[in-house]
Amino acid sequence: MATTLSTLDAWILIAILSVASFLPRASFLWIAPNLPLPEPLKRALRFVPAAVFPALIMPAILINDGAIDISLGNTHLAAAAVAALVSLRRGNTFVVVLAGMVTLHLTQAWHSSGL
Amino acid sequence: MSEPPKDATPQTPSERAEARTVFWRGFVQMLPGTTGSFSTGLICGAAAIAAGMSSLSSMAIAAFGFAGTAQLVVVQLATTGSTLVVIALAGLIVNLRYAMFSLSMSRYLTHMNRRQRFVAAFFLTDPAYALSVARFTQHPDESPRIRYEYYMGATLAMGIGWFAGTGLGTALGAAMPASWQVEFCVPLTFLAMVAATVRDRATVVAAVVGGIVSLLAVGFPYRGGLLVASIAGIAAGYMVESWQRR
Repeated sequence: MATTLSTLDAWILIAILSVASFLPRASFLWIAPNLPLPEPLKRALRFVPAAVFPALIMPAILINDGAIDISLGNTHLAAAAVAALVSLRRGNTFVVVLAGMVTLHLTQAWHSSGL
Repeated sequence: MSEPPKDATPQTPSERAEARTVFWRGFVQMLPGTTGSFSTGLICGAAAIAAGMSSLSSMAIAAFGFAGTAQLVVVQLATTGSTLVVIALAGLIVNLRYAMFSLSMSRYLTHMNRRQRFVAAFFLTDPAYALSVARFTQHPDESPRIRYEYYMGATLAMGIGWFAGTGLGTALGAAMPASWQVEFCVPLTFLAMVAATVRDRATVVAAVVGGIVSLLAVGFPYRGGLLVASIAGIAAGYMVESWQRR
């Protein structure tokens, strides 16, 4: 499903990310330190992280072969559920990722063992 | 009538001494936070290698982008065959919060020359921003020059953690077999960030709507579902906040 990036793809990606990272950072610190921002835009900016992360996570966890899969056979779902629990207990990023990956491999080993 | 230069360079010997002290204070106080930049770098480096990037391009994307989350997003989208426009827009959306931080920082760092403004903007990160602004609000009498030093000390610590993590992840990446499924670290990393971004009812609604719409929009052409879901989530959070204010 996932494709491997060519050398050209990689450098195009580097260029895209460089611009997409620098422009928002430079917006007020470098380009326009005294630019007034409309109030609605300032308020909308506050919701960007809250909206973007779930939109990135949900398809990676719940979509299996193009369809929503909420079965016990979805090992990604089990791994994410454990990671979410650890995250709620204020684990740092590294602990959360570790917990999720360990769960992923344990559940996959369990499923392939046929128990 | 010579006006003092409007930049963040310390002018007097005593100011230079204070600048050095504050710089290293920022560095030391940022150290606990660098575990985060180190582990993000580790994941980013491994994910870049898993996506087929060379060691050189993995280090280059970390250096020029200097943005862990956005890097994970663009690399993930690229490996699932998204168009360049969607990749660029997604990278911009994920980094939009920096515009917010940039605005906030510019109110504190008022004395910078062109080079200092560039450095302050290029290396802006979430943890260094949070730590610095906390310091600035606790010490409102500190001069903009001294503030710049503190922020730079914190930024140096972040940078060291980030590049050390990326280097290790890049080196390990090639040695990690595909059955380890390192790429699943990416959504798990995002998952770990959700708790920090959801603080009140309006942000909860933004998160829930963003997540649900992303599932409904999975079949959208050019993987545009992420953009549709993000905008829907932002709009939903905005509307809830508007109703609450009434």
